[in-house]
Amino acid sequence: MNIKIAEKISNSALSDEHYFQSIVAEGIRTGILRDEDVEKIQYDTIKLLEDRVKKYNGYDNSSIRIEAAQGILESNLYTIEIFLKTFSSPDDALEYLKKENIFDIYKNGRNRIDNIMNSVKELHVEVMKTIPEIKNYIYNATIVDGIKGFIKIYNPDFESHEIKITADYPVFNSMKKLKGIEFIYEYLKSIYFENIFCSNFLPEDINNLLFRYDEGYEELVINIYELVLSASVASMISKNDIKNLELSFENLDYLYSIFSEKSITDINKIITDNFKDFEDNIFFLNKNQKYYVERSLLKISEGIGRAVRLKKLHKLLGVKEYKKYDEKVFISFGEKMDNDKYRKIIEEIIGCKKLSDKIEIIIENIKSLADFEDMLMDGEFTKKEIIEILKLLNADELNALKEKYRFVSSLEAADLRISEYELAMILSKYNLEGK
Amino acid sequence: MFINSNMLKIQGTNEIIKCNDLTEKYGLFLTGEQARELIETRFQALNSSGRIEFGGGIVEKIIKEFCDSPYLIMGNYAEYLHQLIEIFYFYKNETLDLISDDELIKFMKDSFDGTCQGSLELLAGRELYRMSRNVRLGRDPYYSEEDSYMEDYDDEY
Repeated sequence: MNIKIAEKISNSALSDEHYFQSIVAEGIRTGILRDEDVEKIQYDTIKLLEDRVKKYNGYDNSSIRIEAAQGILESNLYTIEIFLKTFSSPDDALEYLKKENIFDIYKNGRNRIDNIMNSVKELHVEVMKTIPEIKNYIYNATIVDGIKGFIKIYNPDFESHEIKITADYPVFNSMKKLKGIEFIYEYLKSIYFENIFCSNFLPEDINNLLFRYDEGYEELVINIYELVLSASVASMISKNDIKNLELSFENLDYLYSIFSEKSITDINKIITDNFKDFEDNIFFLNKNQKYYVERSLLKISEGIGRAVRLKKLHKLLGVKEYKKYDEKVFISFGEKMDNDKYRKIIEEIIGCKKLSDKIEIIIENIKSLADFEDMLMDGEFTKKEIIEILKLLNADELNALKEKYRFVSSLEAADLRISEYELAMILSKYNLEGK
Repeated sequence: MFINSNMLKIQGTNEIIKCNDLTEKYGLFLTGEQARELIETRFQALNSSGRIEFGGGIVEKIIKEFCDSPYLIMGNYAEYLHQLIEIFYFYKNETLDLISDDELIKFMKDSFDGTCQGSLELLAGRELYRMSRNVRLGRDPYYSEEDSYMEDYDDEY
């Protein structure tokens, strides 16, 4: 009979991002590390730091800026922990750390970093082969140029924990909090899996989907895989061809009918129950890539649930001209809201880049014509944006506003603030056709 | 951080005491107490300049370089060493670590014995100021704008 000795330290108690510090802390807490072990680790860490600082300085300088020393220390600890993570249990890793020479552990860690770097380079080659023909600036800048830049400038000797590039293109599934070469490797793996999924669809169909989502998609920070998977899942539920990314109004009506009033759990169940259709029609590279797509379905369900609730499913799935749930803002010249609340809403509006996001905030929060009027002047809108926002009003509301700003003489105009004057000019020329 | 400063201080004091073997022939000598005070000055100077150092470091190098200066006597030896240590770390930052410890100490000694004639004020306030500016601008540490002007004048005439 094999008796398995219970591990004292559980992996869940350890931090991915600060593994070394957390494993030493757990070692102290569980008694695996005694005081003399901790002293030895501290002393060895200093000796290693001294050695690495001398190499960094080229043996010409005996002192170094504290920030630089801190950086080298973090790099040393990251290199050590990357090797300690290879042990099957944290207990075994700590026993090794207690007994072995820290310079040897560091060397093993350095070798592991070199191996991972080789894997990163190979993976990047595969990613480049599977890049979808999409004109999205952030995607290309990050995946093509950014990763190439990382491979060139990564400094495993003194900055092994650093990434140096900004991975601006967001992957869809959440990643563990990692640093250095581990982050890049996991990030590239996610991109690769997403690319493989997207390769099941014609580039033309993906581009059309993105264009319907937002005409300015080339400049947006979006996750392409999310939009493609959402549209494909919606097609599957609507009993269309899974590879058809263009849904009809009837498809949308059907989706609203089955998803409205459903919880995220229910929506997720509907989607996962139909996942076999995916397995039959979509190419999966291997079980890891298939698992990546399966893991995405809950978040896709949340996105669809949110879109259904806000009546914005057409927006998520790139269905243009769907007007069934177009909302008008019903406003009365009523009381103004609390100043603090108003200020926060204005700040939120000003912080949005896209007009559609600003309009969503207005619909949700502005409930009186009085606040609507103030918002037009405080929201730092362009003339074009104001014209679009005015379309939210019905005829009576618009006339009420125009009437308020109709001035008879230039003397009256002189009493207005600049923003009021500009609004008056726009209103005087605006008609219900939005011109 | 994992660094214990007490261990580093004891190590440094012992290394300074050993320098007496060399400096005695110039009539210069440090007691154990003075060595500890120099180490303390070194740590404070490192602290205020935002730097860290391992081993005895720079104090021995300064002692060995300056011990034959005609401007150092037993009466001012310890006091001048304190100031030289502070000046050294300050100008390590000012030169952005672009010159080595040995080069900086040599410059300090050359200037102290030469143009400064034993004045620490002139060393810190004029010569090192000018040198650090030269280094930051990518020039030779000993570059002088006046000499450059005179060369141009000679070339022209």
